[in-house]
Amino acid sequence: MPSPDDHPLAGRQPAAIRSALTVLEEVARAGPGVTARELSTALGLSPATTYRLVNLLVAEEYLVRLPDLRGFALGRKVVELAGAVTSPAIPAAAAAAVAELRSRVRLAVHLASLRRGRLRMLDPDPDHPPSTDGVLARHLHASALGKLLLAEEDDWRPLLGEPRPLTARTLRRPDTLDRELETVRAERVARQFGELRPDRGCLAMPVRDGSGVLVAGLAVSGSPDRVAALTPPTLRLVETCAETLATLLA
Amino acid sequence: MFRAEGGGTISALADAIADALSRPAEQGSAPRGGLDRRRLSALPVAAQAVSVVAPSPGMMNAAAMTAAVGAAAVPVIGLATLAMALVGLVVAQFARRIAAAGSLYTYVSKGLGPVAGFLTGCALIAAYGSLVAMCLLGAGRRVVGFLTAAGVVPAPQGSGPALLATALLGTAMTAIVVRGIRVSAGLTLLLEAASVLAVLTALVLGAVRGTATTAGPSTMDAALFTAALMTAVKALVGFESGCALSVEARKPFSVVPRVVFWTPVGCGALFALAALLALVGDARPAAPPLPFLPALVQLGLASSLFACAMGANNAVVRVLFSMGREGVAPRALGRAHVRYRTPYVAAGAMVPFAVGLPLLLWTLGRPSARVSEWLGLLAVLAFLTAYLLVSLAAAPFLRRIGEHTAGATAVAVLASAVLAGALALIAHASLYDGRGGVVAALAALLAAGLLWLLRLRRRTPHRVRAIGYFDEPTPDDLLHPHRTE
Repeated sequence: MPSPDDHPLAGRQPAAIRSALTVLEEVARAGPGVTARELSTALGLSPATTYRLVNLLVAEEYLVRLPDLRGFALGRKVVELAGAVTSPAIPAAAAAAVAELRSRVRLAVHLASLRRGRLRMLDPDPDHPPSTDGVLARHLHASALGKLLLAEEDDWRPLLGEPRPLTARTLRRPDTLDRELETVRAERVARQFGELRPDRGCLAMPVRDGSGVLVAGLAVSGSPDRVAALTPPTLRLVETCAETLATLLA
Repeated sequence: MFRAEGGGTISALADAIADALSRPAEQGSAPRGGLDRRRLSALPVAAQAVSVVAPSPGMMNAAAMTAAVGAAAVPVIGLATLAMALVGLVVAQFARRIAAAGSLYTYVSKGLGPVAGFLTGCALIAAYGSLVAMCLLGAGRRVVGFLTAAGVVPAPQGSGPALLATALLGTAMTAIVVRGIRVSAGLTLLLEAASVLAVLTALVLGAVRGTATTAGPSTMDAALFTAALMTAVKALVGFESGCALSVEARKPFSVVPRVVFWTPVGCGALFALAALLALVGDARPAAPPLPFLPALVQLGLASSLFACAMGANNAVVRVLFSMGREGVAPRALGRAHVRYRTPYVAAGAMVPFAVGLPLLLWTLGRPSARVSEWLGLLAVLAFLTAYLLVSLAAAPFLRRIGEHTAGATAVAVLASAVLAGALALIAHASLYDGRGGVVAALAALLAAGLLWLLRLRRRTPHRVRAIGYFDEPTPDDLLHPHRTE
């Protein structure tokens, strides 16, 4: 029986860490509701070891015990784990193009992947970090990059669900959001003013590959007033950079 | 293994994460239960558990125990600590898996069913309720004692001033408990730390300078052993009260199991230290007593007793709250304050014990010391009953969820045997020294609870089946909320 004070995940026990990760992996594979006994059988670990591991992972919130008290599911915290590990590399030339734009506009510049209906930061501005991927992914209607993604869909509902209000200016009515996405499609630019955070506005342009498929979004961000007052020459700089990226990321 | 794009290895875990990142927003459900969910850090949870044990009076009792049994006090304390640590291990098995404001009440209902669960709840209410009343009476006496020792007021005639102080403390306690768990737990931490420091200072000074008392001979017979063991067990019960905050605690499945195991171990060590210090002090020639020492001790004890009353009240209102939510007690008890997120109706229901009792004793002109003694015995018996039930529930619970091991079962069986023995020993001793009324009172209380539940089961069986309400994960806790419906 484990005493509450033992630390099976001490640095001296790499096997325990491997087992813990295997447990996470197996829960992901088996799907929510898998029981400790099933995990023990599937992984060939002894029941006592399995119980200790799942209870530790529950204690640290990487796993969640479901209401029937028998089954387990992955916890939200797993995303944080992923956030620390996944930083997808982009071609050096693309990074250079983004850096060039950063030096020429006095705004935060972010590059995000928009492949397969999913928003993930590829090159967030190190000096002015954007909202985390998790927040952006869950509130696609509130960010300019998210609006680019939604504008690609005939129906945004499967991707977004219910639009949640984050600030007083977040678009929360389906018909307003429909009109906004219509504008994005027509102008090929998405904007948001204080809809994700009251003090932040953003403008994003799509990056498309040769066949016109949306692969990424290039965003400039600053205070809502400054984003609203962007001059045509600045907008042309952003557009040129997006065109350069289209060939580099395709 | 976490690379989803660009790399070759796409694992199930990486897929799940990527899927979650692209998933649409979920409507977060309102926090269940209306309590201030997952916001309390580990230290206040520990303070809650420690405060209900009330280490300062326990240390004074441990020191006093040496006068009766001499050096044998240390092994007796060790034995009691071992027994309570066993219970701590059993309770941790539940605390690692369930977060519930009803603590043992909910745990037992998950292992042995609603009837046993409800009995445990009644035992807990009796235990915490009598602790609230007893500690407030004690704190009232100590406050007056401190003011007298410090020379602020002359020694009062009769127990009127102490009872008035008790009623005032009871009012303050209720207000703080309603105001919010973070406020009351924070204050508990402060009071408890100050009180242990004060009593430890007094004991160390006594050890260094010598005390006027002399240690008893290290002899032991059955009656003496029972009495000493009872004192030590009495001093240690209450550590499970940390479980009552498991809904409000951040990372409850990590914090609460540690708290319920380490609280009895840590407090037991403090008691052994107190006994050792007393033995050292007794061995030295007595020095003239320091003038400020009695006042310091009185103040330390007053703050510890007040913290204990508050901790016990925090725990009992959460048991009542859970029963109210399930509809096995008046529904109003399950109401939480909109702003403070505390069970304020349940706190109001405790006012008769906290404020009414001292006022009643005052009007009747009765001294409170005898009443305190009864309440203390009632609390110990009720705690041991609840511990016995939770130990009996552990193995069936683990079997039910398919996580039983031979080790866990062995610990639960051992704990059950030890608790049944201790309960029989203490009940037997009480019957023979003229306090059988207290044993009868607890038995009557539990019988009344049982009758109430059976009546309820006949009329509204769905309510009784609802027993066992606990904090379920919200969509925000899960990576894939929509798949777990």
